Amino acid sequence: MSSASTSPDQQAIALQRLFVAQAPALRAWLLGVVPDQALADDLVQETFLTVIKKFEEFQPGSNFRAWMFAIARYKLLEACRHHAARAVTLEPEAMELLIGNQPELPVHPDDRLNCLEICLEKLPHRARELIDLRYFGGLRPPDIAARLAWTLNSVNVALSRARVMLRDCIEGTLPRTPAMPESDPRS
Amino acid sequence: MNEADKLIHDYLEGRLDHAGRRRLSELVVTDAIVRARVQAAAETHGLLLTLADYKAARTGSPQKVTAFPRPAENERPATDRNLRPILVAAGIAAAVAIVAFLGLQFRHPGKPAGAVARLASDKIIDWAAGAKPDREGWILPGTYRLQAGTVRLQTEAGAIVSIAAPAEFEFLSADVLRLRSGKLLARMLREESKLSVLANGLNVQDLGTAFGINTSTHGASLLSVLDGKVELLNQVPDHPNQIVTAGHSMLLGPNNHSGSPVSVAFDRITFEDLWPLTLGVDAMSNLIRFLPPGPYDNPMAEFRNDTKIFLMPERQGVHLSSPLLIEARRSGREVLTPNYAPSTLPAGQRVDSYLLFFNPASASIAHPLSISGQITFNRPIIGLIFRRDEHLYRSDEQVGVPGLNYRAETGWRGLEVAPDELPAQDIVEVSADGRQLFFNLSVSDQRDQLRVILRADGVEFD
Repeated sequence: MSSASTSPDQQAIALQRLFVAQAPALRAWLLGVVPDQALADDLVQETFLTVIKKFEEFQPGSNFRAWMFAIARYKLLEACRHHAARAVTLEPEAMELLIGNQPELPVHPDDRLNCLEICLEKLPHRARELIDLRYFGGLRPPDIAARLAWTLNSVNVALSRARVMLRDCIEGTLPRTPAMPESDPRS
Repeated sequence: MNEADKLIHDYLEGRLDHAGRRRLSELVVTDAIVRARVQAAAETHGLLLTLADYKAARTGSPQKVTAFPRPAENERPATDRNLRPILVAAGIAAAVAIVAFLGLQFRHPGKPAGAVARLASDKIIDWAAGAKPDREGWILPGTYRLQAGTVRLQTEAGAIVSIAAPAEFEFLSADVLRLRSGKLLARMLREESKLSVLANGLNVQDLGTAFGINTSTHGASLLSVLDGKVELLNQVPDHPNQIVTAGHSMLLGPNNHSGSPVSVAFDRITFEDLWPLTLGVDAMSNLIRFLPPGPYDNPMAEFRNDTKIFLMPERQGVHLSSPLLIEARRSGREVLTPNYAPSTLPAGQRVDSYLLFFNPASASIAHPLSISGQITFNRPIIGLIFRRDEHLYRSDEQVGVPGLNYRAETGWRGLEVAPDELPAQDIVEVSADGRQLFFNLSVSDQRDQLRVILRADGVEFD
């Protein structure tokens, strides 16, 4: 990154501000491809450190979201190779197909989260209870099975179905909105 | 559930084994329909986790709200020295900005004026008609009647208060609570925390403590001091106040016409059911027994059982005066080997400590015993200490119960560390969100101990 009007420190700080603005969206996107929260957090952190380390390579006026997303994608695929022993990710080839070829980070999922909250209200009682216990109560399926006196398999099946119902509902509820314009780091 | 759905479910739950990883990866590469299902399921799962985080941030739950987890110093890549101040500033700015971002994006209503406490658990509870916490869990001064369930509150004056139904209580201010009926257990989070409880003739002033009160509108009022001490302000003219220390109980009976409470045998059992919730333990397997509150001389000898494993709270909210050596801090399964690399928690951090111990009475080399289970805390685990003797003994002094002689029982304490070529005898695992501990322990002629270090209760941002 080079600019005659701003010092390197100012440029780095501007990039950090941009990163801060995008970090929730990045974490949300990572959680949608890597279910391991600790790994998703690590990847946000590593992306941040790389953005800072390479800030001089960023061209003012170019697309920061795309640049940051490219770094995050690289970190994610690197993690797929590195974390093979823990089986918390898929193999790199599969992960590449999963994350597709989108050129930049999707917009922050506010709309999807709002739709999710609406759709949670529409879930059948039992499905809602399961989702509440799993995600908002922090219980694992074996705990849920014990609490509801269900078999573990029944809980797993019901949770999978509840997620499918939510997904279908979100897709049917989601408004189509244009992407937010990006601010210039020099401003 | 077909093969793909089961694999997808296991992937989302972090339970995929190596064969499952290979198989699901293969299906994703070769089958576009499976790929779309993985994408859909993972995205929904991610949205639910994100929403749960935002809800946690909204309710003040100590569940994960940090956006910039800080790796250990030795794990961080080398950074230009001139950039470090900027990184520090950026980290602070990031935390502030993200908190502000979450607040703006999700309509955080903020604390209502005059709020004195807030719900700090999501247990199923039922309030009678009258005053109730608001939708965000904030509690204003007033009288509350709890019909069913157990509630955990964090007061604005820094106390954790658990109350079991049926109960009627009134918050007069953030640090004065009148308990008209019911059972209460209170714990101070910090030295500066304050709480006074008025209960049918008892006036209890905490002095940095944990204490329980059980009272009824027409019956006796019982006070048990579980940790530290309290001052019992006497309601009878010319009677001096009393200091009641841990391990003692006082009773003010309905027929006690003097109006002055009397010392009775220490009663910790009355408050046993409220103790785990008060200490931020949300759930446990049935085979885990949470040690009843109160001081012990030698709990390892006192609590022996072939089919139960015991969880003993140790120091809570302790500021580490020196770095604490730990064996594991990351989520995921830890198969214990001799090459396990230790790490440290830095000095100055505030932590809570628990000791999990399996101490069977009849295990032997010929007849080893195993036990499995899980514990869910309301805050993340940040370290485990299990290496035989060396690290456990060292950490006894830093986070163990003061005055407790951990060396009273001789023999090995830690978990079994198997040679690399042999299967591990003991396995521990921390969930991805850091709040759950899973374990499978085996004991022959010794005992197993595992120290669990948590971020201090009530600390939302580290």
